[in-house]
Amino acid sequence: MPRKTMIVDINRCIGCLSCVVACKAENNVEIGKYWTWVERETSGVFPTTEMYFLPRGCFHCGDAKNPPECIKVCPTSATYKRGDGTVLINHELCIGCGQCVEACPYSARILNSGANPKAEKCTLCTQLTDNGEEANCVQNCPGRARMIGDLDNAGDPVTIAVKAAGDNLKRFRQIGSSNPNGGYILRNLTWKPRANNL
Amino acid sequence: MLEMNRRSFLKAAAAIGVATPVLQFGGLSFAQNSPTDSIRKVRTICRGCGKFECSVWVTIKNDRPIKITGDKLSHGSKGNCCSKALASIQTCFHPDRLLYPMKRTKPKGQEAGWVRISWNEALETAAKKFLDIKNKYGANSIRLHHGASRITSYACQMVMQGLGSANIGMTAGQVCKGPRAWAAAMTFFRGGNYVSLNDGVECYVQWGGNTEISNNYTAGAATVDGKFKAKKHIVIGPRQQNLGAQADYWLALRPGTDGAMAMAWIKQIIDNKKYDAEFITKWSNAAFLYSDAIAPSGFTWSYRQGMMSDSGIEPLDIKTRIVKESDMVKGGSSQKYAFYDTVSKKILFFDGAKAEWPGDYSKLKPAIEGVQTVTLADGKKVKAVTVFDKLKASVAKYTPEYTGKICSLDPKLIKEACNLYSSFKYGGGIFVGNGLEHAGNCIQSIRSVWLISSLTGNIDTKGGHRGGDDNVDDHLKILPYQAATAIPDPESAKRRECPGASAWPLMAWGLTMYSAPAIGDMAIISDMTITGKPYPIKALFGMTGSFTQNANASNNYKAYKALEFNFTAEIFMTPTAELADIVVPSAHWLENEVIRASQGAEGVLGAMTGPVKFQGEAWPDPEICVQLLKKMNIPFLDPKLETNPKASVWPNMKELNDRSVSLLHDRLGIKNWNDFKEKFQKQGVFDYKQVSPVEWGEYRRYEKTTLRNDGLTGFPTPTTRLELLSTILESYHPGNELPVYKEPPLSEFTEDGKKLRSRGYDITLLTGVRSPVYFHSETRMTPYCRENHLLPRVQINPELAAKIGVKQGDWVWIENHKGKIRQTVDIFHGIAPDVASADHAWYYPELPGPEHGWHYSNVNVLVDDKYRDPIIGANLLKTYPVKIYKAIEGAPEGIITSVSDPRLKRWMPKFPAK
Repeated sequence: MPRKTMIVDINRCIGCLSCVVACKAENNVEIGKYWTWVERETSGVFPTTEMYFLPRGCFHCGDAKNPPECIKVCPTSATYKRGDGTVLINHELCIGCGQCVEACPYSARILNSGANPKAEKCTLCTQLTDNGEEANCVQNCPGRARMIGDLDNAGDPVTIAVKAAGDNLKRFRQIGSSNPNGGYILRNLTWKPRANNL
Repeated sequence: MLEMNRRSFLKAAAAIGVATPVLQFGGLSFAQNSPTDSIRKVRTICRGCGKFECSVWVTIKNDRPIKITGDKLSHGSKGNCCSKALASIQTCFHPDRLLYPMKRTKPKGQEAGWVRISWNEALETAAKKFLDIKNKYGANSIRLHHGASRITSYACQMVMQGLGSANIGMTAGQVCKGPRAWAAAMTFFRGGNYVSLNDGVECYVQWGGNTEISNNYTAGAATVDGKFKAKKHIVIGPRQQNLGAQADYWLALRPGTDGAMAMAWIKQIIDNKKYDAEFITKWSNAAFLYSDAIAPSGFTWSYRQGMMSDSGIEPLDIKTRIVKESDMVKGGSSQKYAFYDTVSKKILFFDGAKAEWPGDYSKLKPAIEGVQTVTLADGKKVKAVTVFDKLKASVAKYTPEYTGKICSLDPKLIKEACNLYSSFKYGGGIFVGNGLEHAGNCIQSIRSVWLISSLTGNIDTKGGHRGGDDNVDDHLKILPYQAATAIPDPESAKRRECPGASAWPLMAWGLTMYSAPAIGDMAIISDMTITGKPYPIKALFGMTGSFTQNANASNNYKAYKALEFNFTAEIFMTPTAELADIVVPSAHWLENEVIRASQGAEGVLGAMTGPVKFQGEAWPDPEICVQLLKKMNIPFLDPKLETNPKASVWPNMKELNDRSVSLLHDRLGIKNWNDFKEKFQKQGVFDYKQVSPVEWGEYRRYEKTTLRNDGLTGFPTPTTRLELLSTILESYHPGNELPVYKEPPLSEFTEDGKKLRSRGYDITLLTGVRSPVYFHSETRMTPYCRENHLLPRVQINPELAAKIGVKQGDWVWIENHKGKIRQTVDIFHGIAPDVASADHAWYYPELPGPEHGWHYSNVNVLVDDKYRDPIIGANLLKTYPVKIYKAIEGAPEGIITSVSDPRLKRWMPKFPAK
């Protein structure tokens, strides 16, 4: 089953926030809310410290048979998994109840503050990627750290990169039925579990 | 960076629940194009920051820009499109953008009572005021404030040239790029301060800078690319940098000790014989004999900087103890330098006037080491040693162990990193950033670093030091952007009237270098404005400069308030613009049409193509300058006319643009600006090194005659050799001709690294670390930028945070002997517990004028303009001893402290009605 998602090569991420602004500019994300954001991880005792940046967002969890929590809790089936594995929200069905926002263990969803609020999150820029263009965050990442691919397709360059990464592929742990497809490649540095043990 | 608990802030944001529908101008509306929509993509050059010229695509839908993306075809920027660029539509169409000329109706220091006026009234008033003040107080009483304007402000210099004022180069150059340019010009060549990362650097050494974020002379994308292509990566700087976290070595030295570190590297490279002996013997002054027993003497060096015929000459009196023919023979030349030839076993002379070794060089073997006895003209015999031996002696103390103590570093790391760099035959040039320029004795520390590159032969090689500035004729002619050549530069006497010229004896010489190094002393001119001495400063022509961004901001504020007349061009009503008498609207980069040549060594040549119509009554900067000059009846002296007098009619913008490409006609097969623009539109940026293959494309240009403009080989230095021992410094700052390490002026350490008794300020403060979403004080009002760096931040180590009892996001006071400011705590492991790094350039556009809270968090309130580099006078901006403690008062009143503040939404773009 196709599992289209985003993989980030953390060693190439410089914390420049281009992806954050690229996402907002492309998708018209409300001020103060984010579909993608970047966290900084620092540890150690100076000067033997480690640092990396962690771009966050929707991991497009699970597959058609094992849908993530956001899909399970949606009362109107507005949240769904597209054939290619992308988790999307149908705004005609979304009633803005906010249950999916609460249910996502990775804080990937927001509720916009329009007159009729709707849930929003990373769409992998389907409006671009369906037309053969790169997602805006991918296109404007100076480090070329971000990649979108189908992990079910062995020939996909992203799947090949993920395979080659071996143990260097890092993912947030599965919570409930939300099993992240999206993840990170991190070499030479120590992967730090998140504060809430994600 | 979002450091807060995301869930909690989402909840907070949701609770406020602003019910305004979001404007649909982004991707969603793009995806829903109707068949009648006209959509086109226009290639242009970004000026979201003032640094690298990144080529970008602007998507225009029905005359409205809806999207900006990077242009992957640019060899220089490699598709780079930073957050500032991506947010530029918001800046250009900001509801608070300054769109019309305005005049104040109330005295300075209070709310100005701005009233809209016509351009004609603005220019006529300004012309009359400037001419009146010139007549009353002299031309020098009118000053420039040359900011990082959106075209780049070089055109504004011609307004001072036209008026005949000495205050022509009032830029930030004294603290940014000026020191690097001076150090390069004193050692090898101006332009050599830059290294091309795209050329391929084997061992990438980033010293005191992080171009991945700052885009300083190399784009972020090119930095990451270059880092991963390089075999090794060494980062030297007190903070863990963004890409630095991935480096093979991070030398986390104590702030301001870079000079000592460089000297340790020089020593180790010499001790281990890792220098390029062939290169330094022939092309540097290593073999020249030097004697402490002779009096310094020499000649007047009247070399014209750069390739441009009208940039002026500032003769320097070179007085050196390098043994010359004139010291040994009556009537001998003072430009023939003695060296010992080990083949003939004789002392022979290198002819600096002709850049020639005697006879066939292949038959010579100049000794770079050893003591010689020299017989002087009066028969006296004296000892002389080689310059190379002098250099060796100057660094003799700097063992890794000794240096480790100074730099608070494990000596093993110093040894290993230096060995790694010097293990490469040609590892590459060394990238130096603001870190060194801001930490005190900057000419010394920067020159010392580049002696490392020089000894290892990484000069004008692939990956070596080889910028284009001042070395490619038309590059230089283009850099002043269309018009600065319109009026000849001032005479030498005039340059010596420039503020700071008497304090810093080389400043007049520095003024003959173009672009940023053409400097004046921004702090001294403020003092002059207040005291009227040695001559009064009464009026100012400002082009997007900020008084808040120069040292001692509080003093600058007083000075700006005291001006009799201030005419300022700006994009927003900044605290600086609020002190003007007349403010006029500058154009945004999305609106401008102008040729662009990147600074640095990547050689990008392209064009801003003006994809967006001028908003309101905004004008391009050169247009403002030309129209003002016309109103003052100052004639255009066309340098292209052979006739005398050359007075001609001032060109309009189209003609200015046509003139700017005239030197490129043959090389690019174009006839005018329009051709250039179209060619750029079609094929993308030009590679300047291909456009000018002889002037810049070739490597090791010192072997030919292309680094100098007088037909000689070698380097454009007084001796024509790369000067390990700087004869310029020996002449004007004796004792500084070779590396010397001094602690930064306010350091609480001795020169060998021992801590002195503290004066109560225990933390060493770094300032000016770049935020990816801001270029200095700009875009604090652009929502996509501000929400991602909402508040001023001071980075401190967790240990220090625990000691002073603060947590992430708490407000603290940063206090020194000058004053105190408030910023928020960012707890960061990658900084020493006794060091802090504070944001610079903060003011709060959300607060009312005239102050906009410029003094609440602005680090320049703490900067003391007494403390300077002794050579260029660069202000001390880093290494301030401060104390930091919790601000129980919290945030300055009225500022935006939450991303859900409705004022951020009010700042969303407003597009003009159809």
